[in-house]
Amino acid sequence: MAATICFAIPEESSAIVLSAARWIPGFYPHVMVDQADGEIVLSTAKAGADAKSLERIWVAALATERLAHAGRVRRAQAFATLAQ
Amino acid sequence: MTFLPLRVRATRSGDMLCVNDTGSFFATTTRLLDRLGDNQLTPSDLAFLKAEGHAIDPQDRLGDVAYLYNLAERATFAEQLDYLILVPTLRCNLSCSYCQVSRAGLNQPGFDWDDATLTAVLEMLDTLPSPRIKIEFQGGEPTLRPDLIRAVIERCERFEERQFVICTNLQRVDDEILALFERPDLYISTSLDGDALTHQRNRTATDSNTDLFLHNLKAVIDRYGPHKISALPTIDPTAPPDIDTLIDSYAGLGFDSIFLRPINFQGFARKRHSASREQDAAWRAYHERFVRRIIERNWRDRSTVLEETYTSICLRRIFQPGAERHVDLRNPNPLGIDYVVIDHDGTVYPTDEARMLSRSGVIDLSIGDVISGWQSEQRDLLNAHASNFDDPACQRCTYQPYCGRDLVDDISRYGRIDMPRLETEFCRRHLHLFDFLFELIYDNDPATRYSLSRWLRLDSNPERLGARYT
Repeated sequence: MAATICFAIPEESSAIVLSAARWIPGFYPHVMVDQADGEIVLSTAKAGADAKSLERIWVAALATERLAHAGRVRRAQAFATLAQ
Repeated sequence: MTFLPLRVRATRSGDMLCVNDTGSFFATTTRLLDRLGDNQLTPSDLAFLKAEGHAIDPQDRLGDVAYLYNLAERATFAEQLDYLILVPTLRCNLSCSYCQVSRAGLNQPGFDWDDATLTAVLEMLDTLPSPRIKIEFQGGEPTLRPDLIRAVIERCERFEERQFVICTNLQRVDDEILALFERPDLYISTSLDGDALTHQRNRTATDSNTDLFLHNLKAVIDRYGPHKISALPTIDPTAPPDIDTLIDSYAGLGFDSIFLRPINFQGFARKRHSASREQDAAWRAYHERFVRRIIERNWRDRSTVLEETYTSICLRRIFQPGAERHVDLRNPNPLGIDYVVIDHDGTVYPTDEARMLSRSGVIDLSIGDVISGWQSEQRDLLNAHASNFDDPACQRCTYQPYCGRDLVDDISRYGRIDMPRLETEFCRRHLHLFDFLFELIYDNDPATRYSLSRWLRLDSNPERLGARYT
């Protein structure tokens, strides 16, 4: 593997963390995701990829997931207004 | 403070790209996102997000209305039928190896509109409420039936705005065809697969057909100029042509737009080019090299601006919502509402790909016929799934506001419309294309900015094309 990093799964936000991890291989096909011993493991064999790039992917996935629920609510309100 | 729905993507160049629902975007670092996650945004963070339209004060009614307006701008508004693809004949005088509609032989009977179909098409034109009409004549080879083309065009005189396109292999350009070409509201679309050898191998088959095509192409360009006619190549992704040779073939004829189109997995191509089902990393790398080469050439010779058509369309989808009416990339993408295809036998299809699928015997996606109409249950069923707003993958995708939905493409490749979106060719292709475009948008190279600005039809080169917050 060119790079591997691990992140702990905090109990209080495990649902968001696990969901974020689940979407990563679809959006970043060169990244593999495993879950073991209360940790998320991201790895890639892509040439040129490093731990920093995996960390950025993790931050992006986590931020998107954190904002997704609020986003859905805001979007639904907006469409309801537009439909009036 | 209310934050607009935001999605984040780690880009290849190391940025964190943030895009909200309206398509407004900025690049930043992980630090801002850490602060956002920890509810520790600084006054400077908040000021930036507000100034760029990513956050709105609760009392800011105007900001709220602006958000709604921009959101609506991103959505397709398809209401009136004003775009028709007509297939007056399925017969053709060539037999291309990847013919997507499995054309009928030149002398085969029963593959042209009959009188009843022509009458129904003309009567349908009379009922259209729109003041605009765009008609593409496809085939087969439509110039085999200039009488049918003429009848349709004559019936369209009442429309305030008219545009006709004849999609032709230019094997037949006689006085009757030239009389049609003379119309200022008529454009010509043809295929040019690269140099003469490549074109002959894929399409014209013989030296005489190739010579005739090149002679007619040059004659038409000489007579009307290159803007009357557009050409596009079909590329075999397993053996793509040399990039400069392909560009030279187009630039040498005065064309400035090249639609780099891989073989469509339809018709004869399903058997003869089975690798065309999915485009792989090699094709995507070829496309990138092609666009980068165009950027270099545009910078070196500024007397003309070349573009790869689909890249430009996608770029304008990012910056200029509503500017394009490209029916293969829009959201929602309703079928059988604002455009339809009427086949040689009067059958109505929602898209040209749907017609191809039926011809290939894969699935019958016809939604009716020109005599009895196409307000069918099948059409409504498809249209219930025609948007990307509700898909969980799209809701997490930074490129959702710019992207579209293509039900027929999914059916063509996978036989179903409920494939996980991220596993579809449509999604992979656009994820890659938008990644590439944002790499270009944030590229500081003046040559890149010059080409992007021209593709956006700007008169000058902006200092930057994308906001950045560090």
